[in-house]
Amino acid sequence: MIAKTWRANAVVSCVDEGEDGAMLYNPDKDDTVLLNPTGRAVWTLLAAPRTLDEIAAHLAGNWPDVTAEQARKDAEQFLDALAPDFVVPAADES
Amino acid sequence: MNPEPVPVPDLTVPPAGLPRGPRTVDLSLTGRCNLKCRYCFYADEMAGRNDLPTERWLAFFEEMGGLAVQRVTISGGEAFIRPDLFELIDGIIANKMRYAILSNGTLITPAVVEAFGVGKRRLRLDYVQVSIDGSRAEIHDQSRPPRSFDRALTGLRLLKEAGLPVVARVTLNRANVEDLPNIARLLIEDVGLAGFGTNDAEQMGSARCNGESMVLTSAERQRAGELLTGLNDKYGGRISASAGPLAIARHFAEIDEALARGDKGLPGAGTLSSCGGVFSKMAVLHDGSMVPCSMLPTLTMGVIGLHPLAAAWRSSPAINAVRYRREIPLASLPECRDCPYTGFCRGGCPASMMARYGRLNVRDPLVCYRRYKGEEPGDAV
Ligand code: SF4
Repeated sequence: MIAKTWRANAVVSCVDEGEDGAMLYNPDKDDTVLLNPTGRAVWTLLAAPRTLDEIAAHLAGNWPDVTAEQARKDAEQFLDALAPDFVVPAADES
Repeated sequence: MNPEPVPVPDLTVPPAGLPRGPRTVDLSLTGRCNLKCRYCFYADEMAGRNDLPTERWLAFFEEMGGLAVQRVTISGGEAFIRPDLFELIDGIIANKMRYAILSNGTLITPAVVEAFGVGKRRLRLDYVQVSIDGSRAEIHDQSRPPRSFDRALTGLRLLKEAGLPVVARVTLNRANVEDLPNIARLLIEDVGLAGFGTNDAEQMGSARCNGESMVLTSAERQRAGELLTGLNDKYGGRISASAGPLAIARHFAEIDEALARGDKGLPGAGTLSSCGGVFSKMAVLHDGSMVPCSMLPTLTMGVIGLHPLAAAWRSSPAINAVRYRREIPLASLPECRDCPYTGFCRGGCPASMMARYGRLNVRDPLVCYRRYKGEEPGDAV
């Protein structure tokens, strides 16, 4: 089975706000989301399609204090919070 | 005792917490207009500047998209006079922004309404605002050329019937104060709008020449505020205002209530903190001049295509001078020094002050609570 992949919704804009992270804006929904620096890093990763495992591996690889289990939970939480308006299944991009 | 003198600021340094770019940009896309309204604040700029071609705007929209600007408000002149208007709107959409349009309504035809159905034009439209200044032609057309009323109302109804988001703006002037109940009935009960916005004619642009017949007297402004407050009660708060008689009436009522509670002041008051718009938005005139607000057309921050938007937004002394007003205590102003209400006051609109007195850092006597209470005779500015 091919794992589901996710990517940043192409209609969403992103503006960095210094050390605070970044703000995403979906103009179709007129909705914003604030990302902390970790979320910002994941957002950059999602410029290309990624699986949940790839996101979790990225988190675990870049934040040594984060266990693999925690990284997976964080990746799941990220996708729960941002899909479907900010992050979309790769084939479904609007 | 006099307060400490205010230090001279470095106006190339943005205030702490300022976002990287504006969230909203007001765009005057054209200086041309099919009407010649008698109180048009933009009339001087329309006469003295030229429109930019399509490609200059499209390049600027890309720059705005790169800074994640969220929305634009399109005006003119009259925006619908530009034959490339929908091409420009598509450029705004392609760069991840939403848009609103301010219009006199007279050029809105079935073909225009149909054009909103293409692509994401309808999805990304916040609203079209049509100016309606009377409940009938004899009143509306006192500030505009003949037949304006019928055409504006037709445009408004076309938009409403097509299910597009549409609002109306009533600009109070000397001809329409007593007509307010009829205007409210027309817009809310007859046309079926969710509500409408209000302001009043300013002593700017063509109203400089027509001021005596257009700009409200103090008594008329107060009367308009009372009428609008009553109508808002009747229509469940469906009349809005960020400036003008209703906004002033609300501000004074807020102070009355705070004083009755024994409060020592209001949040964000005590300095020239009005208005906060320049912390999230700016404007571009139809010749490409970047300015803090389209009502502050002489404070140039740069020109689109020549000067980067991000740098103009953060480092231009022209906009930082308006932001810096927030640091100026009202108690440091000669006309406010002994006022017991400084803690409740925000000083009024800087654009009005520039137009009337050529200075930013003065308070607006029209929003002066002490004058309203009759405790400060005459105009102290
Ligand atoms: S004098 Fe008027 S404008 Fe000045 S602080 Fe008092 S109420 Fe405000």
